[in-house]
Amino acid sequence: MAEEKSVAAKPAIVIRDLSKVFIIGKEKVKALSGVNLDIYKNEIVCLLGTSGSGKSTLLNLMAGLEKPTKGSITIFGERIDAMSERKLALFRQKNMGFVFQSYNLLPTMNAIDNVSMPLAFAGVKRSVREKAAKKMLKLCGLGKRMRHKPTQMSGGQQQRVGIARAFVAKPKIVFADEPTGNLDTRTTIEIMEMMVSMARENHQTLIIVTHDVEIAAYADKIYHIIDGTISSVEDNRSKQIAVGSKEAADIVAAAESV
Amino acid sequence: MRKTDVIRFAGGNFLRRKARSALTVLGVVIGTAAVVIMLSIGIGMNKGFEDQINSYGNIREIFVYEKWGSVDPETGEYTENANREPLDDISLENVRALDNVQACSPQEYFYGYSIMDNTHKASYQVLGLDATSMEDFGYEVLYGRLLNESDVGTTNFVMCFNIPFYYYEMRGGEQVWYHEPVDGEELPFNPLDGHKYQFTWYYDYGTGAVDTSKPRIKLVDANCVGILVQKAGGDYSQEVYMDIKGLKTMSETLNKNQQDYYNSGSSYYMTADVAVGVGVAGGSSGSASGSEEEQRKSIYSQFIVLADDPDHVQGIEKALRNMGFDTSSNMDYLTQMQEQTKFLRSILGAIGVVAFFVAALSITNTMVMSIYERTREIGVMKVLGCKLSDIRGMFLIEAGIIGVTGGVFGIGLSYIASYVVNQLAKNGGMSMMGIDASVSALSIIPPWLDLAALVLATAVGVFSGLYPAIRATRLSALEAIKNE
Repeated sequence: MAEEKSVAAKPAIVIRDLSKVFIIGKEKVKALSGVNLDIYKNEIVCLLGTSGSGKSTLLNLMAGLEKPTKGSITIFGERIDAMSERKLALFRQKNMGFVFQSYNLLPTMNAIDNVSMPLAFAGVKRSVREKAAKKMLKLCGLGKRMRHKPTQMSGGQQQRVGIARAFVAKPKIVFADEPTGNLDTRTTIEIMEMMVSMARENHQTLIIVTHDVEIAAYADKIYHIIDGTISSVEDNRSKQIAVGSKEAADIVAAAESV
Repeated sequence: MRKTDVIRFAGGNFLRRKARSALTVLGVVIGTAAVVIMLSIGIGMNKGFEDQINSYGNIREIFVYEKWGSVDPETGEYTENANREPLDDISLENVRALDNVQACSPQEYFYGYSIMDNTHKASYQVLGLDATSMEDFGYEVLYGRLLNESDVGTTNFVMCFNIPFYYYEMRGGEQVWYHEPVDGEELPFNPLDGHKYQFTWYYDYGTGAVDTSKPRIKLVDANCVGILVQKAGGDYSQEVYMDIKGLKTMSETLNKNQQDYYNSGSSYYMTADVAVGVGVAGGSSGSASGSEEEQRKSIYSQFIVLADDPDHVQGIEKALRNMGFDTSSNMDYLTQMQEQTKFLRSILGAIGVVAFFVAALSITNTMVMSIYERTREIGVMKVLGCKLSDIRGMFLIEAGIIGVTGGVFGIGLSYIASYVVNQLAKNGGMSMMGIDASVSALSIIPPWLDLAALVLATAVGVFSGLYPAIRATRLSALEAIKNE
C-alpha cells in the first residue's frame, strides 16, 4: 500500500506485519493483525476507526508503550519494539510528543511547570525551560493563564496547555489520541487548527487517532482501521480543510445552529 | 533529569498533602525521640556509674601488685607464685614503656597527723609518688605548683582541695570537727601563705598530757608547695601528695620513734609496723641472703598506672598481667555494674526500636497510598520520557525528606523530653540504681546520638520508601493514561 507511493525520502516510521493479541481471561482477542504502514516526515496522518477497531493499540505500539505480539516498528531506523524501557524513555524524550484526550496535566502544577515538564525530564536548566514554556504558552494563546493550575482552566484551555507541552521540546513526531474527544465543536476546530499549523511550521509528523470524520479532514492521509487491519487509505490532500478556511467556520456554524 | 529537579518534584509531592505528610513525619518524630530518650537514659546510667566511680578514684587508674599466687577458678586451689615479678625501678620503666600508658608511679601511703603553726591539727593520708610523674598524672593546681624533680627526696607536699577544711584547733577544748566542703566553697585559708607544717604519727599530739617517761614525740618538718583544684561532681579526696623517697625517709623516722615510744616503759602496745603499707615491701625483713645479691627484689608495694583513655584500661591491664603482675582497677567495678544493667538498657533500647519500626511502616503506608493516588501522574511522566531512575529517585527522596524532617524534630523533642525527665528526677529526689539524680543527670544525649538518630531516621525513611519506589517504576504507563 504505502510502498506504492513514489516518494524519494525514506519513511520516518516503518511498520511491518504488526500484530497484537490480548489475552483476556481465557480468550484471545486480536487487536491488530498484519498491519503494514509507512509514515513520512512532515505528514499529518489520521488513524480513523470506531471504538475497538485497534487504532489506539496501533498508536500505543508506535509510542513504545506496549510490545507487539508479532512484527516490527522502526522509527528513524531504530526498532522500537526491541528497545529497553530505559532506552525508550530517552527515545520518547528526544523524538515524541503526546496530546491526550483527557489532557493528563499534573493537577498540582501550574501551566508553566506542566509545559516545561518534558524539558525537565531531558535535564534542561530551569530558567531555560521556563522561558521555552512561556513562549509556547503565548503561542497557544494562554499568555494570561501561565500561572493557573489545571483546575482553574476550561477544557479547551487545558488542552492548549497539553499541546504546548507536546510541542515544547520540538519532537519530530507528535501523537494525538482523540485530542478533542472531550471538547465542543468550536474548541475542537481551534485545537485542531492549532496542532496542524504548529506541526506544519516545525516540519513535524503528526499522528492523530480519532473516530471523528471531521477531525480526519485535517489530515494529509487517512487510514481507515476496521477490526485490526487497515481497510483503506485515503489521500486527503485534495479535499483537506485548510487552517482558518471557510469550511471550518461552516462546521462550527452548523454544529452551533443545532 | 537534573538532581535538583528530582528533589524539587519530590519536595513538591511532600508539601502537596500537608496533613498526611505531617502525620507521617509525626510518626518518625515520636520514633526518633523514643530511641534517643531510651538510649540517653542508658547512657545517663552508665555516666552515673562512671561519676560514682570517679568520685572514689580515677577510672583510668590501674593498680599493679606483685603476683603472690593464684586460685584455680574450678578447684579453688591456691598455688603460690614462685617466680614473682618484683616491683622495682626496672619494672617501673617497663610499665612506663607500655602503649597507652600516660603515667606510672610507685605508690605508698602513710597515715598520720599534720600540725600547722603548732596550733592546728588534721589527720589524713600522705600519698607517696614519684614527684617527677605528678604532672603526667594530670593533677591540676589551684595555687602554687605540682611536685617536680626538685622535690625528689624532700618532704615538700601538695594538698588536695579538701585538706584546709579539715584543720581544727587542737587545743580548742571542745572538739571541733571538720566539715565536708560543698561544691564551689572558698578555701578557709590559703595553705601556702607562710604556714608551718609538721607531720607526726601520734594521734593525741597536742591534746593530752605529755608522758615524760617516754621518748619525745618526733615531728618531721614539711613544706606545702601547692594545692589542687576541687574535683567536679563531688570531691571526697582526703590526701596530700609527697615524693615517694621523701615519704619513705619520713615514715622510717616516725615509725622508729613510734616503736621506741611504745617499747619504753610498759610494752603493752608494741607492734612492729603500725603504719600500714609502709616498709612492708622494703624487702628488708631478713629475706635477703648474701648469696643472692644480684636477684631483683621489690622495693615498692604497688604501682599506679594512668591510662591515656578509659577504653585502654582493659588492654593495659591485660598487658600487665602478661608481664606477671596482679592488677585491679575501678574499671573492673564499672564493667561489672554496666554488665548488671545491660539487660535493662537493652529493654529500653528495644522500646525505642519498636517505636521506630512503627514509624517506618507508616512511611511505607503513606508512600504506597500516594502511589495509588498518583498512578496516572506517574504514567504520564513515563510517557513523556521520564527515566525510571528519576521516578524511583523522586519517591526515595520524598521518603527521605519525611525521615530527615522527622529526625530533626524528633531530636528537638528528645531534648525537651530529656530536660523534663532530668528535672523530674532531680526535684523528686529520685535515685536510680544507686545513682543520685541530683548529681548525675538521668538522661544524657551526647552529640553522636543526635547524629546517629538523624542518620538512622533518614536511612529508615529511604528504606521504607524503597518498596513504594520500585512499585512506582513498575506501574504500566499504558494503564495509567487510559481514557476513563
